[in-house]
Amino acid sequence: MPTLLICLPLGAALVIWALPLNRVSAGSLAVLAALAEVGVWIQMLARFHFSRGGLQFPGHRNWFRDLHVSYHVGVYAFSVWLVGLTVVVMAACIAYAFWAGRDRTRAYFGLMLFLDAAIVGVFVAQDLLLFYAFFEAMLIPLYVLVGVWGGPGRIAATLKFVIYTMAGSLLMLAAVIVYGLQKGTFDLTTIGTSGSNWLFLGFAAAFAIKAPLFPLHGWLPDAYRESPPEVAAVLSGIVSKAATYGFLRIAIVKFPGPTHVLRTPILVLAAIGLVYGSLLAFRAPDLRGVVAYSSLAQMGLITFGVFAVNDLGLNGAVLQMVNHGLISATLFLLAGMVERRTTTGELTRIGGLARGRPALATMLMTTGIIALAVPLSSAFAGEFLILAGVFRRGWGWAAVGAVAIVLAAMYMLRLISAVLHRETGPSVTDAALDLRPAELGVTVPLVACLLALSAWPAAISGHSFAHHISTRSGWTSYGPMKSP
Amino acid sequence: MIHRPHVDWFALAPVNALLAVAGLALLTAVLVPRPARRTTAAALCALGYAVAFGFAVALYARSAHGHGVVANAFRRDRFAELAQMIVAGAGLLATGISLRERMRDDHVGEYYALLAAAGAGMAFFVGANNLMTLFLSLEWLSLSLYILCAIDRDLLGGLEAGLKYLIVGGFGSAVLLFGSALVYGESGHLDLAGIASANRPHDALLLFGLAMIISGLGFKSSSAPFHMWTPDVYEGAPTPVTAFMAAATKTVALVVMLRVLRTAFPQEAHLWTVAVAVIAVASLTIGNLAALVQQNVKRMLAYSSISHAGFMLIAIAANSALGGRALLYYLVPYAAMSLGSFAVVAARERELGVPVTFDNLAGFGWERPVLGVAMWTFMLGFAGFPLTGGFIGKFYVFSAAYKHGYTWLVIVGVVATLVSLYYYLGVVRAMFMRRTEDLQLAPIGGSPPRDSLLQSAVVVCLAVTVGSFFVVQPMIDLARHAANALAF
Amino acid sequence: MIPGAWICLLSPLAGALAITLAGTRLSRRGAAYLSTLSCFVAFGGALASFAGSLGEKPHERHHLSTAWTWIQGGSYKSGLEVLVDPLSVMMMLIVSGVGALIVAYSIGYMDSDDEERRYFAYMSLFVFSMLLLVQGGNLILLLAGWGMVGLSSYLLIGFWHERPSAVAAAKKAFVMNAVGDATMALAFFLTIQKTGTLSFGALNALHGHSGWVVNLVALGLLGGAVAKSAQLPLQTWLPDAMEGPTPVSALIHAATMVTAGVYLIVRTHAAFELAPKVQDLAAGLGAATLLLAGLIALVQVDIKRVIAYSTMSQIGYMFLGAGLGAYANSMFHLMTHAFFKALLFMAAGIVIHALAGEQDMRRMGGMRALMPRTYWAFLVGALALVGVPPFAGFFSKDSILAAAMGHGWYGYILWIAGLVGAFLTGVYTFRMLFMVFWGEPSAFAREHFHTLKRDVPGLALEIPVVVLAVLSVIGGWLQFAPTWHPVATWLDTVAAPLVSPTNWQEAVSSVLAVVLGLAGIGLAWLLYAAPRRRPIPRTAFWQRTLEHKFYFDELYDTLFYVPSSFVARALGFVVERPLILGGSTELGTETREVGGLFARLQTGLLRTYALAIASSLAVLAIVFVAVKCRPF
Repeated sequence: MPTLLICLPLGAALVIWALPLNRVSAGSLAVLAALAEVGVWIQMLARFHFSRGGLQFPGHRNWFRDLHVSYHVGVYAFSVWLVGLTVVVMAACIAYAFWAGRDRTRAYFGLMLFLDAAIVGVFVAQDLLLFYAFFEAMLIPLYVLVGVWGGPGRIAATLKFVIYTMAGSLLMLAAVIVYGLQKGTFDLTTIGTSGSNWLFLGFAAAFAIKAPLFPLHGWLPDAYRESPPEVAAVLSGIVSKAATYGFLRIAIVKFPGPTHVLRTPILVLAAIGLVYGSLLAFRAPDLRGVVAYSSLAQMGLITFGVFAVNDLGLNGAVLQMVNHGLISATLFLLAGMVERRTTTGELTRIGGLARGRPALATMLMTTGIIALAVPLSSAFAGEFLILAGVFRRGWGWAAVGAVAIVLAAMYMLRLISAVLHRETGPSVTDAALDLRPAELGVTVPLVACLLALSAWPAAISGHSFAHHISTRSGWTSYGPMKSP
Repeated sequence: MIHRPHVDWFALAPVNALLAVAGLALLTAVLVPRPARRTTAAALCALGYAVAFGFAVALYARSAHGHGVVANAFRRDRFAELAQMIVAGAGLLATGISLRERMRDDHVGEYYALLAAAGAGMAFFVGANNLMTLFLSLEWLSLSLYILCAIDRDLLGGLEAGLKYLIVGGFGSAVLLFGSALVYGESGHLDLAGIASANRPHDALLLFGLAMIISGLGFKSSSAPFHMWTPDVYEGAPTPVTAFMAAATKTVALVVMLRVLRTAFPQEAHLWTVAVAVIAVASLTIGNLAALVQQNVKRMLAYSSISHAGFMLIAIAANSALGGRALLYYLVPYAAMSLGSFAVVAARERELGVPVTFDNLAGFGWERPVLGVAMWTFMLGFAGFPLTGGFIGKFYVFSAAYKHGYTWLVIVGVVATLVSLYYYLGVVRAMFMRRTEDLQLAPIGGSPPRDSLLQSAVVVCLAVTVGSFFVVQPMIDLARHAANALAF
Repeated sequence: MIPGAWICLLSPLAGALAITLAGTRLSRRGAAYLSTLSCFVAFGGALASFAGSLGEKPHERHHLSTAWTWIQGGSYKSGLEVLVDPLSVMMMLIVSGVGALIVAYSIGYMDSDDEERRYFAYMSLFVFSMLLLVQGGNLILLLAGWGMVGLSSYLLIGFWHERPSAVAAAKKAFVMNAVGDATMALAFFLTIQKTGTLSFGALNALHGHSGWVVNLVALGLLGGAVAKSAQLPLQTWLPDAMEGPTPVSALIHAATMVTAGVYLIVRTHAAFELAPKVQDLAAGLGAATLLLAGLIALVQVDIKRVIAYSTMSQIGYMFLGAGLGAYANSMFHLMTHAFFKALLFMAAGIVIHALAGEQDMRRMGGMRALMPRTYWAFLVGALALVGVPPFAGFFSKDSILAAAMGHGWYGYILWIAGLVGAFLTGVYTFRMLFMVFWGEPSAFAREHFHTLKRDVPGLALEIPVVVLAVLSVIGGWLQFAPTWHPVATWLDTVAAPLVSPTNWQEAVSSVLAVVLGLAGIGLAWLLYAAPRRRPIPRTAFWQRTLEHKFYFDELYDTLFYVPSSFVARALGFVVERPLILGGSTELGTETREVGGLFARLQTGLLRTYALAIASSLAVLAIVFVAVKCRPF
């Protein structure tokens, strides 16, 4: 079934590239494929045994024997959620792109579907080299998507993005090779743990850049500003999750010793990123800037949860990955919709959009409020678990997290009031209509998912790791990684 | 009366086929009327390469146990046959690319004759089993290439390239020859195995010889610091010739280097592995850094081929079965990628009538989607992205280096790859992200010439590049058997 | 009774959702009625559960009904559950009852506004949140409701979002409450770590842990309480919150939300009793706040702000009581205060409504002549507030003061503070009353008024006021300390009082409080209403200090806002641009320059090439020889 999830969008992409379809048919085909993907995922969700845990829906083909590399896919409980996040957000973004109308339609939608397949691949790969291959393959479409369809500064932005990420990934490649050859296999489910700090750092570098963690986010502002909104949504919504997933799936599981040794420095970076990102989001001059830096902060928070390495933190981290994925995707899409109407994202030039635009106001307000983790929202649940988890590692971490929550309230409210409230901004004309039905059709499902999660966060946080294992705490409890 | 050795004609079949074709192609220059000449010669050449390929495959199948033939002057083993397959394939594609090259008609016969002859020389070179045949076949293929570079008298760059290649190449060959002489004088043997087995009292001379042989082969494989001719020649030569050189010459030079070092100098392994590693690092550094600042695409590709020589030398430096596999695997996608990329450059050249630079690539990707996507894939392959054989190749090379204990070499390779991203992605950027309006000069005369042969050649290269990512196991098996012929 | 509780909780939410989703398909009036209906249904549900609880023996009045596991992390889990016990039932009654009345009042008040739907959706949302707060069956749901009321208060304060001042006030309120939420969250993290659960029982389970643990937990809870209830030191948001529509002020910032802090202390009294110092601190903060607020209220000229400050000081009383362990008394005062403070706000609202939104008391005056019924209503509220018998405030406030006497020397200090507070209450309340209603109608008032002809515009405004007026009179008779106290007994099973004042303590404090209150009224009369006015004694320093509300806003700006925004800006210019965004580009350009050097080696001259080959060959050879045969 994971193979189907990978091949479906890939096949659709090839069809779109191969056949001389016109704008409409190519777009609708892409949307259909994305929706079919969602359908397949729902099937998978329905047939997944959460009580049993462990690897499920495994698929295995030999790739090349002499180095023990194989095509091995499968899903754990938490991967199911991340795959779900991917397919849902991708469907929304593709639909939005279809509605917004991108030129060179076939190339565009083909690349989007290709990206879809690559990201899903990252979450289901159970072989180190396969994981790496998918991890890299994400860059191929992203480079072009940003570089061709992006804003004025797109070329510099996309180059920076790719070089940054590749720098990390290549270190990871070296680590993968050394690790795999040392252990004599590349199969994630069977490969033994390692105690080498260098290997750990090799992986951590890749993930820390992709996430990004604090000093390594040089690519982030430009990439998020210059890409088309839906691509920015994918970038910050799901691509960044590939990194935290890597932390979760590889770094802390396969390197328990180094994780223990290097936890503090990583937590420090995460903490800095958390506060730093929040502060910069508070000063950012434009809509996307706020969201971009806020997601820097959020990645810091998720890293907190992962490196707390106890059941509270890990469950919270998975939940928060999904939350933040949905939230930032929605916010970027909304930012795109606002920019369509006002031709700018500068907070000083927009404002007062709420007046007479109830749908836009409701959407942005709801998302923003969930984003600042107002209690009873799913984001609150996630952050609560994460901080409760990291609290066990040291009270200071949770204190920083609490400060960051207050800062989050500050920048999100600033964003909301700057866009919706106060007197009407200079770039806001009466021509700027309320959200069209199509736009609602794109955003409402995402927000609906968020609200559903708010009603039942335990759906994820209680179903991410086999329960009988996650009831014990500490990284040793991290059993679900071992294949059944 | 001289004792005439038994000749295993089957073993020489690929070589002979190409030689025969070369002769026939030459005849077309006089027998076939001008209009049909180009096609006939090309067809003959292609036929020759196809046949050679077929023979090579057959030989591969039937030479499970390698052995010397023709008085042990030539080696019939899977190592050689696999290399011959690559060469033959490259030649075939090169022929396809050459067909529509803007070239005066009066030399087409010679052109294809030389193309075939060069192929024959390479086919023999990879099998050469003693220093004499080694040098002979080297000169054989080199001379053909010198002329091929300069064959178009109107192309001033071509003339210059040919001349430079001739002179510097002469120097290189001289080095190799002198080295062989020293080795022979020291060991009293010409055939590689003999050199290894000979007892060598004090071997300073032999070491000088070894150094010279390494330099000579390093020169042919255009690895730093013996690379300097490469950019000028690659840039000046007619693009199809460049494509052929980049793919085939490098292949044979590296393959032979591995065979010679492995067979003749096992005792000096601790020396030449380090030496090769150092050369590899030099090639990676110089190739990548110099490529960063190039404007002319052919020149950039030349530097990239230098850096790839570096990557493949890493495999040789590993001096292990894994290394051999890595080299032989890597050569396949590498050959495909370089042929393909130069072919695309050729296509653009024919549109514009001027040398292709990053600037005048603008918009090309959208005008010619197939070629554009192909070029994009080749660049990704060079940069070692997944979904291309380049990725697996790098993976194997690094694995070999690590297994041999050269972790530092892995790091160097990784950094080099990172640097190389800039210019490889630069091509993609130029083709897709810059609007055609940025193009300085308009394409000459109407719609670009449709060239189905070139297109299909590119598509084949594309197929190989991508396919070698998915069907790794069979290729690795081929490579394993071939490498085992060297008795690792 | 469990179904009743669920109905009570969910019907306002359903109302809010229905209004939001229906959008323009629902007429404005329709939205108003729907919202009101949902609140009354909630009140019905509350009554049902009240009746149910009445029918049981006291010790059985504790029911927990879980819908599903709301949040889970490994072993820790908390359900989505409602708690039905005397305390929550009492709060349910107050919240849904007063809430329903005020929402009904809003029908008339918001009539002209063109965004009524949004308003009523928010109101229903608030009622839901408040009910969640008081019904939540575990600490995390309590925190959830805690945050949700903060959210709806943000939405409603900023309801007129074209006004920058309103938006700013809303943000201020939310952020200050977020601080409280954060401290509470920290307390809960600690609780989870120590007990592994967040049920209310966990607080008892803290018993036996080291002193600082319980102290920290109690402090965290107290932080949340003072933030929500606008006590020192987090009180500055409440006056600004008056930017919202008046019914909002009545409901959220007088009757229900701001008193949630008191509810929190009573609900989590177990934790506080384990940490008596923190409990004393709570009482002390209450006393300080009631004095401070009372003083500031003396100089305010905005009618709503005066009432707001009086709210702060009344909640100070409740904190005082709760801090002393007189839980029942504080809850009782909470109830009566809900009645009369809502009444005051709504009466004031009618005046403001009549004067087209004017809130400055200096421009009012003589309204008694123009709108007598409103005047009487306001008078009832004022007397109840000052605590003149037989009005409600008398019964509730004085028993708190009495409790203070039973708490040693510390208690006496608080007691004195409370008495002074009573005096101040008298002064500022009647200052307001006289300024607004007595004297000659101001030109401004007249000129606005004859556009409006009627005293009270519409029944929708009138009925709730009347109901609340009645409640403000009889509401206090529920409990008369010496003779009978049903409220206390009702709450005993939840929170047994720590102090039980003797009758003479009750008597003394009652008499003194009433006397002082009347004295305050008298003083106010002398200064503002007497035929021959005394000049109002002013010392410039105090005047300025009080008008600047003791400079708290300025203090917090300089302490927190200015530094943080400065740091943010500085980081942007010092770290982000040059180092993080610039660094990588630098590296790239430098690499290219190095590449340029290498490319320049490529001279194109054959001699160079030959030289390169020869020299490197030589090096190679020599190294080989050197390594292999070591001639040297």
